[in-house]
Amino acid sequence: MNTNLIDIDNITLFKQDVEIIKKFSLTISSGERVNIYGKNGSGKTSLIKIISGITNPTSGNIKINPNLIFNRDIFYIGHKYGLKNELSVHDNLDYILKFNQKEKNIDIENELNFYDVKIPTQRIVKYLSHGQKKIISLIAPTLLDNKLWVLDEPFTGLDQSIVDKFIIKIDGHIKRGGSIIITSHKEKEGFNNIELC
Amino acid sequence: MLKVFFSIVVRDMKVILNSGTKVFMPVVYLLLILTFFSISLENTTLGGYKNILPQIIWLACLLVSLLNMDILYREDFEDGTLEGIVINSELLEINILAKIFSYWFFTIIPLVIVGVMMNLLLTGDINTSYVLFTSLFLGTLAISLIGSIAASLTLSIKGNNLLLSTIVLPLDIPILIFGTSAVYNSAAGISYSSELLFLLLLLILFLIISPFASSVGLKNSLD
Repeated sequence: MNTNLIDIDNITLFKQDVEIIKKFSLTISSGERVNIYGKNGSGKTSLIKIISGITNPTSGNIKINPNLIFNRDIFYIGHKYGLKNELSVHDNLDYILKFNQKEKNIDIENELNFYDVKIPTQRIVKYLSHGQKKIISLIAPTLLDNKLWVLDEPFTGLDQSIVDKFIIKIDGHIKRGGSIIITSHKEKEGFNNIELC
Repeated sequence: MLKVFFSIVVRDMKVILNSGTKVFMPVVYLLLILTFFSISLENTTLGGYKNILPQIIWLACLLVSLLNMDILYREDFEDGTLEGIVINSELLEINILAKIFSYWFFTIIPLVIVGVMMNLLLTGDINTSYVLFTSLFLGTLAISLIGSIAASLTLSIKGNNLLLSTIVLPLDIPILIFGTSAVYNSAAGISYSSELLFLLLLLILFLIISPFASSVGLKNSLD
């Protein structure tokens, strides 16, 4: 089962003549949790964008396991929440499921109860707080259950109790054979910590 | 594939209809422009405002639809849903077509309908109104397709509305020529079918080019 999902081989990234990522290599195998940490401006977000295929590195190779269908098996959440402000919580998650072609009855109430937060599912996202939006955006990957989650700083701005509960969700995801890559500012327990500098 | 297309269309429909200003403001703006034209051209010696009304409506629809072009990708870019559309798509071009279609159908078609109704009310010429509707129907879709290329290219620049118009307007000239001459010919009682066919040709041309060009532009803007 321990196959390599993504092989990053010696990549370098320049942005406007500034070297942001310098000769970086990383192998991500299935069932692995990777935490990329480093100071502000150390290139965490740029690296995440390269892994999810938005940015191309200046030099170096990325090999992706042919079994990993890139469009369907990866789920990316960036700094922005990826939610439409004008739509309700239910409509937002419903769209994400339909867009990713997952035919499932969504039980948002159940997910929200798991995090112990009370958000009416018909509430328009515009009127939610930042933390509430973050929770809704973290519900999306658990509903979809793609093989590889790529989350950019998923824990910033969340209460410790919610972080702990999301880690339980991550454990379940790993048990089902998935993998996860996150970025953060410090080392995380239980993760394969990789420092960027 | 079709399901993904409709998921985007349904979402954009809800977004556009939930904020009613996106539907009604262009219509109000069009009516204001027509009022201004009628005030300024009232004493013209050309034989009256009525004769050139269909062309004025054509031009006004084109300009008003340009004002709005920026919203095509801007909001999705700012709230992060665009990244999802680009990363998790099997065929990005289909998603781009869905975005263009929903933008055109829910914000420009109301404009076209009101413009044609105004023409019918003010001139009473049913045949020209029909030609006006057909030419606007084809023309505005082609304009939206061109606008999509420009909007995707200028996405990473803030306050890009003037730049966007500057890119789009020269490309709109052929569409404007064939659209306005179709309605002119119809009002003058000459054959107009070749102009409409040329509009259809331009529409098909941009239908082929635009999705590919926009997908490259979007990927560049997200970089």
